[in-house]
Order: sequence, then structure tokens, then C-alpha cells
Amino acid sequence: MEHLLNRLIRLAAEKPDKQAVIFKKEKLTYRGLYLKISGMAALLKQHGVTHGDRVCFAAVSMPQMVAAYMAVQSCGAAAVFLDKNSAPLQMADICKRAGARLLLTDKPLGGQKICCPVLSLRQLYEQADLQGNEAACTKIDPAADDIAEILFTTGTTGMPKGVILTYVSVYHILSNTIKGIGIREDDCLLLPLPLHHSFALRVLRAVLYQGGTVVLQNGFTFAKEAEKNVEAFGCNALAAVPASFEVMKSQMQEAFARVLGKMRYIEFGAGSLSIRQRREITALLQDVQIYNTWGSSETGGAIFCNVSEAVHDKTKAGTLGKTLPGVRARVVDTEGNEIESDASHPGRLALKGDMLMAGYWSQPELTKQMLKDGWLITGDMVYQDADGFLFMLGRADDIINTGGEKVSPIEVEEMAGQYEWIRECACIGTDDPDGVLGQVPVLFVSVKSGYQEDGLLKFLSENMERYKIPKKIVSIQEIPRNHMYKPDRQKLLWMWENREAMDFMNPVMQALLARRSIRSYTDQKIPRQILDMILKAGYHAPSGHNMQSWRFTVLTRQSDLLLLKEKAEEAARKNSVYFYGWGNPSAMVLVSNDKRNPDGCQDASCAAQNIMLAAYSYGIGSVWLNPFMTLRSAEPVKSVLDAFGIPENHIVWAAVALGYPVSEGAALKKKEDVVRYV
Amino acid sequence: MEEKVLEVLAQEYPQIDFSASQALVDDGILDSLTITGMIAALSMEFGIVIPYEEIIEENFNSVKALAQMVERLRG
Repeated sequence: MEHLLNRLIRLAAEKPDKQAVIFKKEKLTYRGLYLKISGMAALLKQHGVTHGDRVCFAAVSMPQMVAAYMAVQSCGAAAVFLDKNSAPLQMADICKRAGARLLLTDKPLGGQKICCPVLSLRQLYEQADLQGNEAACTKIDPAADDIAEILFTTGTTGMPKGVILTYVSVYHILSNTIKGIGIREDDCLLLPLPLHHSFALRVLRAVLYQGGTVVLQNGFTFAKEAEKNVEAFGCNALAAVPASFEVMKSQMQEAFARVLGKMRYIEFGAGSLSIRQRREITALLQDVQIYNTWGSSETGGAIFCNVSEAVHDKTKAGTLGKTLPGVRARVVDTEGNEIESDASHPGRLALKGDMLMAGYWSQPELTKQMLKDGWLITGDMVYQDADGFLFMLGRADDIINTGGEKVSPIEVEEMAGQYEWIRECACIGTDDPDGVLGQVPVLFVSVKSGYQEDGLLKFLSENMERYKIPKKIVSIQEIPRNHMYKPDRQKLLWMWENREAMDFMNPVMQALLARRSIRSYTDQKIPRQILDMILKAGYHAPSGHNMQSWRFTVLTRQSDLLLLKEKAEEAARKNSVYFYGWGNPSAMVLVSNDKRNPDGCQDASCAAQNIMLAAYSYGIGSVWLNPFMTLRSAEPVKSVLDAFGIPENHIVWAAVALGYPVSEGAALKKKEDVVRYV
Repeated sequence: MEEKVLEVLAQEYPQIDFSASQALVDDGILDSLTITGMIAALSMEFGIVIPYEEIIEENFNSVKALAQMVERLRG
């Protein structure tokens, strides 16, 4: 059993110049990483860190996190990872629970009291170079029950739990991953996940252990980062959560298949890809191995599915997969006895192996409940088919008991997710409003244009038993998710319980909430009759003092569109006006108004919004461009607009680009604290 | 320009210490909604458009980088 730190010490000697960790401009070789670990360990010792301590640190997505992690272990102390985005109060709470010796962070604490000294992680990392004391980092030889790290998870019910991983557990978690998933030395893995999370840590450890390269990234907030990283560092592997598939697809648009097609494999963790996502992603990335792993803080990665293979077998398409080598799984009843399971007789998932956690920090009672005879009894309801494949029905707490029948929220979500007009959905159990069945399934959906509730219900009733059909379908803009992008079922339940406003949802509201800007289009033409309807919506908009002095100029010939684009670009350059996002629309409506009309801009704006909503209702994408507001009279634009017949005294307030979308637009988060009732 | 940018941001988000770090994103001080709000505040205050290509991490990690971006976009 070679521990990760010892392995890194060896790699520093054997492959000193190989890149270990990359973050933007900072590249650490294995030798460089080793020097950082050594220097930081020397500094930590100077601050009194010793065997048996716990050191908390902000798990920032930067090389200093990796160096701190190993430096802490090199001192014989346990590493405790903190969510880098957590508030000072939460950080203080975990430090206190862990009985930390030190906290390493660069986040301003805003006067929050911390129970231990606080050092700057960045300074410690920078000062490490000055230590020059390589002898500080020697191989470790921990006892079997020595704690390597504690992973605090917030769970769904408030109180954080600290999962204790010994060196033995950590070693087996990484060897299970390496053997089962096949991590290689030539892997250069892009890791855009929060590093305090068990999945991210597992991947980080495994890639470093194999002498590969890890490229760190701060999540997916900045659309271009993933693309930049893949191109700059030649990444050939990616670890992601299922929801980031959707995020990447909508952000990267046509670049998605080109950029991600370079991967040898993509491992999805911290949640299952839905069957629809599995089909979609394997079709888009045919030469990439798509993996989906089930894991937890308590077990590391435990159940593995090669999606690229499973997806072709209808009976296996949604499977969790089979256990990784070194992991045993059973399906058990509430007493913990093994049962024969099948789709209609599920039980709890129990796992055993050397990778299991030692228990929960300072929670012996909870540990006893969860660990029985060396088996970890999880809260997940599963069944195993005749070929040994495991299938997930949901958290035991989430299984819906409706009139004595059990309904798996995941099964409902999988089925509804296959209905064409559903973007995403989540199912929860709620009290039966009629008070008859105990609980009933309620489905929250985020829909595409063209969705009709009757159609969904018909689809579900053709494919599922009656009692599984949601009693109520609630349309919302997006499914609320936790920090790992899993559906936040607590929040959904809260929304259901406070649903007065939702009862007033209707197709118009649905369109208002779901429309997004679309900037790339297929070359499909928009039928004239539909354009006529869309324009009708435009001139039915309100007009101040009923002036109706507006004009709607419709361009449908590609030659006109290209000419206008070219001239607009030229004029924009000459006049230093910002111009972008034109795309390749199949039609454009120029909304202009008499410049003497003081409400001209307002009228045109209302009309433009009507046009975009009407377009949406026909499944047509749109985006508002307004370069002509400033360039109306600038040559060479002016002559073109004049030639289109726009009156000389008209200002073009809005240019609405229209076309059938290539893919969905990005959903933008909406600020909700902007409404004030007086 | 740095002072002016800091003033605008501090007024919008009094609870965040923007001068505390040269790695506001990396250190976990800014989340995505805050970044959206910063873009709006800077665009309006300085009469600029922050295009898609400029919404990258390195432009948002420090007040200095933000100020440089604003200068650049004001042309």
C-alpha cells in the first residue's frame, strides 16, 4: 500500500519535470509540487501542527490547495476541506466541530471569530519556496487507524457530518478508481469541480497517483474557461456533474462536440445522467468514453457504468452499473438483511470494502446506525437485475408512498425527461391535497416552447402505471439545484408548500419565463404565414397616445441580411460602436419609429418584445440587436436602410433576429430581490 | 480608475471587500450572481458594453484587472 504522499515523493524523483497541477498560468511539475509540499509542511510544523491534529483549509481550485492537502498529511495531521464559497460563519462552525489546529484561507472573515489561528493559504504557499528545506517532507508511515482526512458534508438536514477517511480508506478509494476506471499516466484531466467534494477529491488523487496532469478550473461561471483550458493544455479527460453537461452544451453551442470530442473519457459523478442525457451525449461524442460513477463521501467511487456501452441496451440504459473492483454491494431490508430484489421489490443499497469511511467525526451513534457488521447502509433505494446491474430508485426518504404503492421519483423523472418538450424535471412526493392517498407524486418541469401539459400527461399514461402519474405538474423556469447541481428536493417541497403563485401558471406565463436569447440558427426558412402572425403580434403592442407611427421592415433574403451585416460592421468600426451577436438569422425585423414621436423608443420596445414572444410560441428563436439605434444615419448603413424603404426620419430602435434555434439558449439567473411592494 | 471602480462596486455590494484579494474569483469571494451585478454596475457607470469575450475570469479577479478592462473598453 503506497500512500498518495509517498507516491508523490517518488514521482518527484522519477518524473521531476512532468506537469502535475496546472491552474491558468501557474504550472507545477511533480518536482515543483514536492518542493511546495515540503516548504509548506516545514511552515505548518513551525506553527505547531503535529500528528493527530486537524488542519482546515479553503479548498480553492488552485495548486496551493493540493500542496496544503499533502503538507498537512506530511505533518501527520488530518486534512479538513472547506467549501471555498462558504460564508465565514460556516467556516467557523466546521473549524469548531473539527477542533482545528489551524485554518488556512484568504477569504476575508468579516470579523467572524474562529476557534483557531488563521493563516493566509496564499502566503504560506508563496513562503514555501523560501524554506529550502527538502528534508521537511519525508515519507509517512501512518498507523491503520490514522485519520488522513475529514470530509464535511452538509447533507439535506442541516447538521454537517464529518466523514472520517483513514489512510487505508483513501488508498483503496484511489486504487478502486484507478483499476475500475483506468486512469493513466498520459491523462491530462480538466477538473472544474469544487475541490472539497468527495468526487473531485477522488479524481484529483487518482490522476496524481498515476502521474497524470490535473488542470483546475473554477466551475462553469465563465463560459470560455473550459474551452480555453482544453485548447491551451491539451486536456484529454474531464470530470463533470450531470448538470454541467447542459451548462456546457448551451454555453459552447457548436464548439461543444469539437472541444469535448478531444477527450479520451468524461467521467460524470455526483449524480446519474438521465437516460435522455446518456443518449444525447453518446450520440454527440461518439469517440469519447462516457462514464457515470455512483459514489459518496463515505465510500468514494463505488458503482461504475460505462455509459457508451450501456446505452445501447434498452434494459440497461439507466443503470448505475456494477461495483468497482474492491467494492461489494448488497440490497438489504430495513433491518439490514440481504434480500432478493427486483424492480418491484427494491431495498437499500449496502456497501462493503476497505474503502469505507471509519465513521462520522464525533458522532458515534450516527456511525453505529450507518455501519453494521462492516457494511455501510446507504439511504438509497435500489434493485439489482439478473445480470448484476444495479438500478437507482431514489433516496429512501424521497420514495413516494401513494396509497400503499411505492413510486420512485427517478423513474418518473426519467420517463418525463424523454418527452420531447421537457427541458428538465424533478419529481417529489407531497401530501395528497385530497387527503386520500397519503402522498402523491408532483412533477416540476422546465419546458421548451411547444410544451403542452395534456401532451405530457398522455405520454406518461401511455408509458407508466396510473399510480405513478404525477397528480400535479408545475411549470417553473428552472429546477433549483444544490452546489453540486443535484435537484434541491427540499427547496421544491418548500416551493410546493408555498405554491399559491404557481397555481396561476398559464401558457403565456410559461413563455415569458422560458424564452431565452438565441444567436445561432439552422438554415430552415420561417414560413410566410408564421412571419405574418409574428408581425401581427408586433403591431398589436401598445402605442403611446395610439400614435402607431412605427414601421416594421422585414428582411428574409439572405443577400439583404448579409449586405446589412457587412455595412453595419463597417460603420461600427468607423464609429467605434460595439457590434456583436448578429449570428445567421433567417429573418430580421427592423422596428423603426418617427423621430418626432417622443414615445418612439418605448413603442418599438414593446413591439419587439411581442415579436420575440410570438416567435417563441412557434418554436422560433430570437435576439434583440440594436446597433442601428446609433448607426441609423451613419454611412454605409444609411444608404442600405434607405434602400429598404425605411423613412429617412425614422430611427431604427430594434432589430429582431429570427430563426429556428440550433440548440437552446443559455438560461440566465434572474435576480429575485428586485421587487419591492410598497 | 481603480479608485472609481472600487467606489462603484463598494456602493453596489457594501458587504464585499473588493480590495481584499487579487484573486476574487479564485478565492471564492464572488459568485456568479454577484458577477452579473458587477457587469451591470460597471457598464452603466462607465457607459461601456462588456462583450462576451471579456467575461473571463482574469478580468474579474481584482479591482485592478476590472479597472484595466473598463479603460480598454472605453477606448
